[in-house]
Amino acid sequence: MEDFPFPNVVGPKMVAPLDHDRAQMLAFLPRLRRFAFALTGRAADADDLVQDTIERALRSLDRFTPGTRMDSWMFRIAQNLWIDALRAKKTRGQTAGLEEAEQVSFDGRRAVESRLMLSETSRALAALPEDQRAVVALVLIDGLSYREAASVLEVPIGTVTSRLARGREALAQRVLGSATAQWET
Amino acid sequence: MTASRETLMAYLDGELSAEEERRVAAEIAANPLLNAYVEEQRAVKARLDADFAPILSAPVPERFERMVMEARVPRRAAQRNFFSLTLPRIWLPAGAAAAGIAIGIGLSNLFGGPAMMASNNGALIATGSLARILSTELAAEQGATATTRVGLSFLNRQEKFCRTFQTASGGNALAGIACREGNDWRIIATAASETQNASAFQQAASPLPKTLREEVNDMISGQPLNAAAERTARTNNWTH
Repeated sequence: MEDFPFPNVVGPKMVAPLDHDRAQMLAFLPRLRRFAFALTGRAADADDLVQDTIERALRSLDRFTPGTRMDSWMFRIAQNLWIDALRAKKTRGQTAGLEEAEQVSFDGRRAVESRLMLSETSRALAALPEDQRAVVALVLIDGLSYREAASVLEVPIGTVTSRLARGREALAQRVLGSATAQWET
Repeated sequence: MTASRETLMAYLDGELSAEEERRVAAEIAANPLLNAYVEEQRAVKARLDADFAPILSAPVPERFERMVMEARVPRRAAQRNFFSLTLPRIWLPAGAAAAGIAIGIGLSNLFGGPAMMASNNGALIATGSLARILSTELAAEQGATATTRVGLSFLNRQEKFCRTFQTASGGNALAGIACREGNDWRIIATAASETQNASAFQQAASPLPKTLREEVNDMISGQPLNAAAERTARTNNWTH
């Protein structure tokens, strides 16, 4: 095997061989970005959260147990960092909720131009209380099972299902003007 | 008895057993109010999917890939470090395009052979000989010299077929769990195999690492498949 398998690329940068944990981490990045955007609702905040999560995960990699799920582990890190950041904002007296006028589309264009592009559903998601938003992001958007979501959030499965029920019905109410949203058994 | 809201949600999210699912589906079909709830929730999910799918398939910013690829990683204390110091160094071009290659190269470098796994929209899936072996080989049929061994087959709670495997190349041994997703085998978890060298590994089946055994216990629905059930599953391409 040749030393350098890409002869047509200029200026190769030598990096260490990629161990398996970091290969899994790389593979997970698109889902992490999606999760961060679902939580924060803003492109800039989402990318900050992704960056902070990767940094924290890399620093803590010696505490990751091989054979356990990398995705659950990194979702947990991201979720905790996000909650910490929200608490810090509240402590500093900044508005915790997302003003609709401040939301920018994913590619960073200004809010005024992008309001038409940001969907009703994304705005409804951003308006959910944080605990419901996290569960909706994990179960409805990423597709984790109730058990996996409970493991990420470190809460009982019953807590996941009750937050999920409230979250998805609030979305239905706001997005569809639902008449059945106030479901009673 | 009418299905409760929690049951309807579990139905929508694939959390019910096959039998419960059939029962609830029948109730929904017969009851317009239940049906309206289910249809609404499907509409909400469809919109969420539409909004967030572009982010999943967008290229990951290069700076994030570089953080992962270039980090100095703390060495685990008192745990066998998966990648061996005898692996040859590889050259990787910097750039976003490298990420897809990096995973293939990184993983193939670990095995000293053709790539066995690749990244697909945020999931790690089996490729090459690993994918072929998961699809076509059964433990009872594998000979002593197989370098990739299949172990248990079982159904997870979402009624997908999952299989454990162990593979070795160049002195490095990896154990894992993969589950069927469409035509792919999605890698759920992996760990360094407990066998220290490839020749011993080839002579006797190694136990699955403890963390993977625990993961199987958490995932499994019912009992592992017996040989006959495995043959049937294989005939059906590991789908229902």
